[in-house]
Amino acid sequence: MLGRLIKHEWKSVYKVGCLMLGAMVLVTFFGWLAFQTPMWRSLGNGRSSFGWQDIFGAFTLLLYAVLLVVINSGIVIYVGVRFYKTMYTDEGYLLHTLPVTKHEILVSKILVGGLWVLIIFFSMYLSLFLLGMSMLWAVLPDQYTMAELWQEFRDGMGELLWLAGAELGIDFGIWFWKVLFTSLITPFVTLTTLFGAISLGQLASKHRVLTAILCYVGILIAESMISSVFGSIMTFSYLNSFGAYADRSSLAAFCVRLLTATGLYFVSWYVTSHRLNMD
Amino acid sequence: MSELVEIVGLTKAYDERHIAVNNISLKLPGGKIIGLLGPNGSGKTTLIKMLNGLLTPTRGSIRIGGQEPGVATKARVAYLPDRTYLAGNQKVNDIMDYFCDFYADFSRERALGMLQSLGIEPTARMGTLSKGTKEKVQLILVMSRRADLYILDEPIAGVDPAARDYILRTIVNNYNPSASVLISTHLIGDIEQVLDEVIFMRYGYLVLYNSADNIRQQHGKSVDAYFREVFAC
Repeated sequence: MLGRLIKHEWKSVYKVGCLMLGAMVLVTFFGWLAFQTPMWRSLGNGRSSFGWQDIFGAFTLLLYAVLLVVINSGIVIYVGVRFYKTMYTDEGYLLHTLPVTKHEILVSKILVGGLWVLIIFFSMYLSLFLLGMSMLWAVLPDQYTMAELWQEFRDGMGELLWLAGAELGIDFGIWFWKVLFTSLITPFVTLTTLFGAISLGQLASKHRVLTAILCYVGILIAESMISSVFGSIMTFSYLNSFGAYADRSSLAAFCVRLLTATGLYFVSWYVTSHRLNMD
Repeated sequence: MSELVEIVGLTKAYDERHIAVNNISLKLPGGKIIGLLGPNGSGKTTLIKMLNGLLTPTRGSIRIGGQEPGVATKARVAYLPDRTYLAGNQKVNDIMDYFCDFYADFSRERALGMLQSLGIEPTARMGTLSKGTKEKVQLILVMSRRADLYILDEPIAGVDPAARDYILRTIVNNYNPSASVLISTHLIGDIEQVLDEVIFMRYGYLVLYNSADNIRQQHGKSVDAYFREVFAC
């Protein structure tokens, strides 16, 4: 039954997900447009000029940054609202009367929602990469080609990372895999925490949405405080190395978030299994 | 007679002053159409929600086919809520796919036949249908299952008399004969003809559980007239 739940959840979410991906493409185009103004071109040729198009370009770049945040938050908010609607409003009458377990319902929602948050997250990385490329392309001196730039980048990158790693006391190879791993897990952790807060809100007899929002804010504050304390203990003997300090701090924060999300998953399960009270 | 549903000491209290269902014990047999009757606020919907696992009882127990409400009972119970619970952006076809995937006893052919007889397009979106048509679609989906227990919460409320006739015909002609149908309503006159047994509820209490024939014989009046007498304001 889990596969069927995932199939139907995907069918319900993919349209909005694709819409957001489309918005990301549009936003990336805006970002590219911002680097097509004369100022960027003039930088590449060793001159510097500023025209009315550059004001437009600056605003476009600002719009790009704002829309990027909106899209990233938007997908999380959409998945959260959908969870609330399908679990705890009239639409929940259908979901909670299906012959499926509460674990199957929760897992299907976390997997599908998390996957869409992940897709949007990586599309944001791609958008930023493309923006960086379009900036480089704009400021690249006339005698340079992109192929030559790439060649220099490849040649110098290894040495640059080694030097930076030695300075910061960090192995960038390991660091990269850690970042990739946490990036892959974080969307699922975020949604499990959000769903837990929404479920906690259901324990209130009135104002359940407001209670859910307050619970979510409270959880984030508590997570931050525990991460600080936990992080301080973990990084105590690494204060002389910034890289190791930052690495351990972020690991501590991730562990706290993971543990909180695990706990809140069981809160959601408990509420839907033993404390469900549909209006 | 084997009991399909067994309810023992069932209570739902929202707080000390608001007790929606108060210490109800009942045994419902299979193969009967049972009316769950009572004025507004008598606890009918609360009882039904607990049977479907949508509300957690404060005390007491429910057993359907010997099992507590859960995955196994939900596969055997077809439930029609008192509200529209299908998303407006879904097509009727999509909802049938949904039912096909999750309910092994759902018959798409029966559902399509009933939709066709009412002239409802399977490609129509729920949001574009009138309130009455939405209710008919929901009823069709529920009655297209071969369930052991049909629980219908106010299936004829808010629809015109012609639609009521259609809904009652649909229920009587399509339910699994070995199954029981529990119909909650306060429009007794319209459904009295199809009821085998009746349950009266008031203020969360069970007032009476008897066969419709016994009520008519013992009190010399219709169930509807007796209901009006019992619940006179």
